[in-house]
Amino acid sequence: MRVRRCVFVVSLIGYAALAHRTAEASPLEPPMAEAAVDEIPATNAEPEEEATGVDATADPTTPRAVEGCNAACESTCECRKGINVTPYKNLILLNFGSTLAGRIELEYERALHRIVSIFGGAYAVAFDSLGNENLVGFGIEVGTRVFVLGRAPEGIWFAGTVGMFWRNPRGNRSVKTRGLETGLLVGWTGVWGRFALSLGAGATYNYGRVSVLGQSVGDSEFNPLFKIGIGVAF
Amino acid sequence: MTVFGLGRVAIPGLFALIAVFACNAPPLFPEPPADANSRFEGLEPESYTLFGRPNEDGVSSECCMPSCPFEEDGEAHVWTAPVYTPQDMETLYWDWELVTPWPVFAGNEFRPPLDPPDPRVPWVCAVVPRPELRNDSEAPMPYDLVDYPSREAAEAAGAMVTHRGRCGACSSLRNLAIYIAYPDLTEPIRECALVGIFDSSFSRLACIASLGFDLPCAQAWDFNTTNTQKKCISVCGGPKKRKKPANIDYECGPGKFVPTDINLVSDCLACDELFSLEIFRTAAGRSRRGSGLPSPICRRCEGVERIEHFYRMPEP
Repeated sequence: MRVRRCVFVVSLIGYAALAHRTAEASPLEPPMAEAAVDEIPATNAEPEEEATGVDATADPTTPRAVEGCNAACESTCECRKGINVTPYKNLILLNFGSTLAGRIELEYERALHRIVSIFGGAYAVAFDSLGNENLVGFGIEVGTRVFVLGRAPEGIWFAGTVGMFWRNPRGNRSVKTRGLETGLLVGWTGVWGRFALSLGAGATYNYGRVSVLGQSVGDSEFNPLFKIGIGVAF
Repeated sequence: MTVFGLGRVAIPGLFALIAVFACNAPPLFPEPPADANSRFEGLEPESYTLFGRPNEDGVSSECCMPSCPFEEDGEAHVWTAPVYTPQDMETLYWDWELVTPWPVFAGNEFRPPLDPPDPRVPWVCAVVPRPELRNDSEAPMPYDLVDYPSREAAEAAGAMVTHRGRCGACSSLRNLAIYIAYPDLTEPIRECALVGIFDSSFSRLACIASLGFDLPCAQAWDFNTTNTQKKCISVCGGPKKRKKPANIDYECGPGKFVPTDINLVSDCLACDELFSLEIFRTAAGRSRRGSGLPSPICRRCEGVERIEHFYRMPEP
């Protein structure tokens, strides 16, 4: 049931991202955009070019200010293809997505390419929020994000992760739980100045092994995963 | 604070948090309440009295106490379940060791046995010490768990009965110590079920095992929990229903109310017993009633086995 709900959410977000992209590439769009650019008064364009200090005619790939970009953010953003993007390549995020289960994650992300970033994180799970003071959990994960809209580390993305987890009772060393986790998520990251917000949802496939006093048993399952992260860009 | 400064604080902070979580250990065996049995002193159990040690919910001490009347050799007697100290529980947990641990349930599942035990045979599970396997006098005493067709047969063979019914995953003395330490497992197991919903089934199993159970017994409880979640969600679902006392109101007295196993407890527990109890008992072996252990949930005396869990070590 949980898996089905999760697949639905993932599909919905994926569909929204694709629909947005399709709309951008729509044959109706370019003439309208071009018309808008044509309408920019020359008197407006020159000061913006001066403000950014970039000669747009020298290199067409160089960022330049055009309509749609907010000139006020020039110190904290770059204008690429008419969209403000963050000039920062690194994010540190504190993820609260699974806080209902007491899970808090510290994550570092670095953009490697226009559409690719890698990230790694560590999380702790304090089950106190569920009234269980006896169990604690830890985990580490690494992953990569592929941006289908925007420019890494900002935009709509799909992510793949692999990680390890441990769930152990406090003070009871006879019980050990560890396992491997792999997941697929879809989400969005926005950066405003140095403030970053990231939202994601997906599913993980976990293989875990519980050991108690020399006996152990393994099992696997799918679980939903939600990430709501806030952090800083640099 | 710069971004790097934040990292320098946050990362060690996370590890410090982890260290605090890992080092804060709760005591394994709590002291029993001071009035565990004393509040029932002076009360005489009658034929309609239930067996249990109720909290303040629905059942008065006159109607439910840790004692049962019984007849032996034509004489009326009263048996009262002992109050076990933390030392008693530690002895059960640490001083005895099952020679062949109960096997884990493969795939974390179990099914009813193909040849269920004949209910007409009064099976008991008994402890048979194996001093010849003990290498060191400081080491725990090895023992086997053996099924006998009756209590008399077990006692005649020199075995010490530990519960009614055939042996199962929770029959070991180590698990018995945990049954005693937690007179009411409903709440801790429910917390573990929540962990399972929000985190993973591994966490749920680890949570149950962390109460002190060995792995097969934890699996039996885990199955019970998941099965009840599936079958009884409509009955146990809402917070109001969950908070409802386990016992129903019981006005005891001759001819007032004829209790059964099902109508004595709340709807949620009744549902649990209807759908999960039989398969759980088959897997776990041990039950509170079958072990003579009172719990806050009151039960009829007919189902209670009079057993006191003080196992004597064989002479060297």
